[in-house]
Amino acid sequence: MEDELISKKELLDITGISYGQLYRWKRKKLIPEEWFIRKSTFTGQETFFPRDKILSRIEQIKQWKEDVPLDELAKRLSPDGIDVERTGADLVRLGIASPPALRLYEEAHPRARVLAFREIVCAHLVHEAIASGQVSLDEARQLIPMFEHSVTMFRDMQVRLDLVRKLGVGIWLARAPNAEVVIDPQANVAFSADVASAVEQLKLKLMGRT
Amino acid sequence: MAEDLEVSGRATLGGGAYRKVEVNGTAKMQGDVSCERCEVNGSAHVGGRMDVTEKFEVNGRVTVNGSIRAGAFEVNGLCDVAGECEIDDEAEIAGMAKIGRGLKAGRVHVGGRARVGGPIEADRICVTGSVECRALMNADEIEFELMGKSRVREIGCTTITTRVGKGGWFSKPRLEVEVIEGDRIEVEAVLARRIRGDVVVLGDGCEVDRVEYRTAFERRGSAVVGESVQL
Repeated sequence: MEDELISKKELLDITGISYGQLYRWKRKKLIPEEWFIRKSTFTGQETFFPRDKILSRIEQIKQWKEDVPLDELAKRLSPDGIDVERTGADLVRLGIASPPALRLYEEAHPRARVLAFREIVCAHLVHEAIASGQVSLDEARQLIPMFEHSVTMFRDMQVRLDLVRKLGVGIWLARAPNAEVVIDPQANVAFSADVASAVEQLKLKLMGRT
Repeated sequence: MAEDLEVSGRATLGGGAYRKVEVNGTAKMQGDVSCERCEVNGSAHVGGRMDVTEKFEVNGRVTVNGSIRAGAFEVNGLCDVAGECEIDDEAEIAGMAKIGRGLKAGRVHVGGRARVGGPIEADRICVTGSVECRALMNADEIEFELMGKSRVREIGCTTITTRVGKGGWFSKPRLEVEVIEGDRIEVEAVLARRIRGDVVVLGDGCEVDRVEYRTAFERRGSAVVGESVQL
């Protein structure tokens, strides 16, 4: 479930972009810093990227760069820049959150009538957790404060949320998507969600583009 | 309505918001300082952040414990910043600047000496003095007129040209770098492990372990290359 990686060289070959473009887009924050993953290979230090995320992002940049100034594009691509609001009913209709997931969210936030993008991501993750069949309602409920806290700690929602369970007790863990983590051998990861990938999926669903 | 601040003697202040700040004496500002313009001819210490809407000019000595944000930045004297330096337009370092974290600007010109702990990012970087950067130097256009030694961990760019400056300093002028990646790389006197680009031209005084080029590679003069591979 870890992201499949692609090398910088492969990336340039597949997308046809140049070094100059890649570095410029990095500088303009169109590509998150966290996606530049350094690994040692036999030729020295090389940079890799999460394959699906980077290819999708480059496509989006190529599609929009002629029409939108890069600074504006950076804002739109960042999860914080997405200016979208939906009611619970909309989310159910769009298949983003199920009624039980929405109910859990509303218990935690009774005054929420209309959800902003960040909140939509949260409700969606709760839905994914429940839908997996591996997470109890109580654990899914605990995902809400966990999500809210972890997005303040990880920039641009580049974070992976795992539910680690041992002897029937589950604890949520938030980590950088490609971070190496070793857990107690008697515990297991019951559920894992890559928030950044979920964000990309939701953007497509909410902005009505496939 | 913010006021002007002029320090001629010695003063210790809390910090605050001003219009124009001019330090001709010695100023110790204990907190964050924000202003429209700032000129330090004497000596100033800022305990917190320094936020200048227009130009921040350092002719004397300045130390900042936090970060600097300014419209434009000019260091003719000495500036030591523990945090980051974020400049909208031009960052001109004719004197000496030491920046603990990153330097970001529209354009960077180093005529004197700059030591930067984090990345340097700009549209255009021009070095006619010496630069030491512990992280990635990332710009569209990079130009070095080498005087003395410059050391940068990694360079990413669209184009980079380096040439040995006339009237060099005491040490042999050279740029030491681990990796350079760019579209068009035309350099002299570069010591590097890897150079990767579309068009790569290595001139006199270059020593490079490995070159990976997509379109063209040219070795000139005394350039020494371990291996070159077309991808």
